[in-house]
Order: sequence, then structure tokens, then C-alpha cells
Amino acid sequence: MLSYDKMKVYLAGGLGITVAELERSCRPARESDLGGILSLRREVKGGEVRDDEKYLRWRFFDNPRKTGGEVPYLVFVVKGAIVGGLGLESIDILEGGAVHPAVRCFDIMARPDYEGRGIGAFLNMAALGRFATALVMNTNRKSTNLVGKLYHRMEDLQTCVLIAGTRAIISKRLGLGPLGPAAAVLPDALLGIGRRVRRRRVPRELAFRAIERFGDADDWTGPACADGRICARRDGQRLNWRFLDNPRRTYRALGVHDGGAMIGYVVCGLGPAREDGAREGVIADWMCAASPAAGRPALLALLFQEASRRMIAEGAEVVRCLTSDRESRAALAKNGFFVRRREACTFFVQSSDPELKKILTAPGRWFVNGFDNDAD
Amino acid sequence: MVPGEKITRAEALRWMAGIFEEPVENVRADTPRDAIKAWDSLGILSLMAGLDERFDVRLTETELPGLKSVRDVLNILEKKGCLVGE
Repeated sequence: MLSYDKMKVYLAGGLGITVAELERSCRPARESDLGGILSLRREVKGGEVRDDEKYLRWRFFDNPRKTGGEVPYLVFVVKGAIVGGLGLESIDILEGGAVHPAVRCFDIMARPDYEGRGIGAFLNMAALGRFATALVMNTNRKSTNLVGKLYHRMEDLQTCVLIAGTRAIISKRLGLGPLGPAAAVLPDALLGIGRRVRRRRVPRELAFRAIERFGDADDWTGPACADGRICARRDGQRLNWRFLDNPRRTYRALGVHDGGAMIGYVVCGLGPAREDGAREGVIADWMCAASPAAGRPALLALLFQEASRRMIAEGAEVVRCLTSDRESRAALAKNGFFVRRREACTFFVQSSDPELKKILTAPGRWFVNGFDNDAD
Repeated sequence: MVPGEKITRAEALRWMAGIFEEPVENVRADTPRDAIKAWDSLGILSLMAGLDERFDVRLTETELPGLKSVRDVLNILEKKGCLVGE
């Protein structure tokens, strides 16, 4: 593959600038870049994006995690205009008791008139040059090939789906229009019976309670990674920022308590209606440790049961959940979820430390879910 | 490889297939850029490096946006005198 230095020569040539100018072109965003990034996003997405400024402020500019005042976003500037960008999120990867600082890269873009000149490849290489370890997930058709050349591709995450209602599907997809609700009565009743049959009894010692805010100092990653799993740290501050302060989707967190102690949580959210009119719920994140009342697999199944039940009660016809691990998929399957293969989600890892790369790219160890995905 | 060498169109197609790691039969003059998976932002830089190293051809800022198909690359090679015969 082309070296980074050679890449710079040809990219600079294609942009009509010198290599020295190119090196200055790529830098972390500054507070004053907000307007330029908004314009870039408008041009790339072909119009106004709802609440985009709110989103950019939340994710990058007002992010409590930004270090040294540096906005976690790389911009690529040509002739004074931002023509490319790459979103970043600094994370701690926990693995076997060790903590490895890393970065998640996402939302890479180049202005349409600068597409096809190598800016995307260069921004990826710039991120890999700045950070020892980087992760990418949920690439689109266009970027999967590129990212696959720069990163190690891990096993795809699977989307597990629970169909809880058929009204929208029957009305829109089968074209039954106003007859849809009547036609959906029987299948919906059958789906409801299925859920009741599958429903597990919650042991008396356990109770589910809504979480208003996670405690800033709480860290939920330790128990979950004790068995050799690799995952990004989920402390209270991160969980509050990622989910409860998220401007794109209203998430709710639910804690499971055994006696006085919270032993796990699940984060879920109900999205706006889809094109076919169905409302969709998402189970985005979860963590739990075994308790005397239930082992982890049983607790997971109960967490998913409770999260789905609440979203269905609020009108969700479909509930989906992104998973990387078999334990979670098994717990979801117990609740009637099935894997929708065509909605698999890519996941890539890269590290400049060969030893760490070997550890991080070992198959079957990662615990990754909607927490790690920038799409809400 | 000899910088500045001349090749036939058939050899140029095989060369491009190598650059983009595509089977030769998938790279024809009328193949659009979008049909070649690896002709992405890294692919274009690899193509530029290949043109420079093999043919001494450096693509310019104005030529790049015009590369929409294999034929456009062949036209550049022809214009720079890198293609011979059929």
C-alpha cells in the first residue's frame, strides 16, 4: 500500500498545493470552525440537517471530554475553506486489567467538489498517525473498502430485531392503507401471546428503576470485562453524555437492583416514526454483573425483556439492538429477537503497537454495541 | 518498470486492473469509476503514484475531477504519448 509520505506528495499535487501546505491543511478543529463544519456537512448531506448545530456542539465543541481544549474533530482546509472532516472520540479500551487510550473515528467527509482526490484516505492516515489505537465502525459501502485497507476488519456486529406490531408493515408495505389496522389485529394478538409465553418471572429480590443520571464516578466496565472481554470504558460521565444528554434521540436508562445495590443497566430509546409509519425502539447499551438472585445470562435476558416491554408499551412496533457477543444475542433470542443479517455493521481496529494490535484483533473478545456507534 | 515507458491499450487495462486489484475482465474502457470498488480516495492516490512511477505522468489539479471512467485514464495516457498501437 502507498506510504503516508507518498500519499502526501500525490494528494498535494492533486490539490495544487505543496506538501508543506498540505501538512498545515489538516489540523484539529478550533472553536471558530463550527460554521465551516456546518457548511461542509450541509454540502455533503445535500441540505440542512435537523439540529445539526446542536449535534456538533454536543458531540465535539461542548464535549466535556475534550482534552486540552482541543475539539475532537480533524478538519482539512484548502484555500481557507473546510473541505474535509473527520469526527473523533477519545476512549479508554479496557482489556485484561489494562487500560489503552484510543480514539474512535467516524463521520468522515469531503466536500463534493473535492471528492475523489484522496482527502478521505489522508484524513484516516492522519488520525492513525496521531493516535496509537483507533476504531471505526458502521462504514458505508463506499468507505468499507478504504477502511479495510487501513484497519483490521473484525467480525461484523449483528442487528437483532424484535417485531412487536404489524400495523405499519401491513398498512404501508402491503399497501392495505386504512384496512391495515384491522388486518393487524390478529397478527398483533399472536405476537402479544408469544411475548407473554416467553416472559420470564423477575425474581423478588430484583427491581427495575429508571436512572435519572448515572453517578459520575461510577464505572460499569470492570465487572463486564472481568472475563477477558475487551470493551470501551463506560463510566457515569460518559454514559450521561453519550445517552442522557444526547440531542438526537431521547434515551432512557433503567437500572436493575438487587437489594440496595444496582447491579446492571440498560439504555433504550424510542425513535421517530419510520417511513412506513412504524415506531422503532433501540436497545443501545447494557452492562450487568451476576448477583445472588440471577447469573449474568439470566439478568441480561431480564434487562432486554424489561427494556422491550417499556418501549412496546410506548408504541414501538419494532425493537432493534446491535450486538457483538453471543451471550447478548442468546439473551435477546430468549425475548423473541432474531438476527437480521442484511443489517450487519462493520467494525475495524488498528494499533501502531504490534503487541497490542495482536491482542485487540483476537477474534471473539470484543464487547461492542450501540454505545460505540455514532449513529443514533 | 521504466519511467516514461509506452504500452498498448490492452496492457494499460491490465495495469489499471492491477492498481485497483480487480480481475482484468472487470476493467474495460467503458467501465465507470463507481464500478471499481477500490477506485476510492486511496485508489486515486495509488493511481496517481502508478502513473507517475511508470509513465512519468503527474496528474494535475485540473485533470483529477475529469477522471470518471477507465477511458478518461486511457485518454490521459494517450495525450501524454504513453500509448502505442492497439
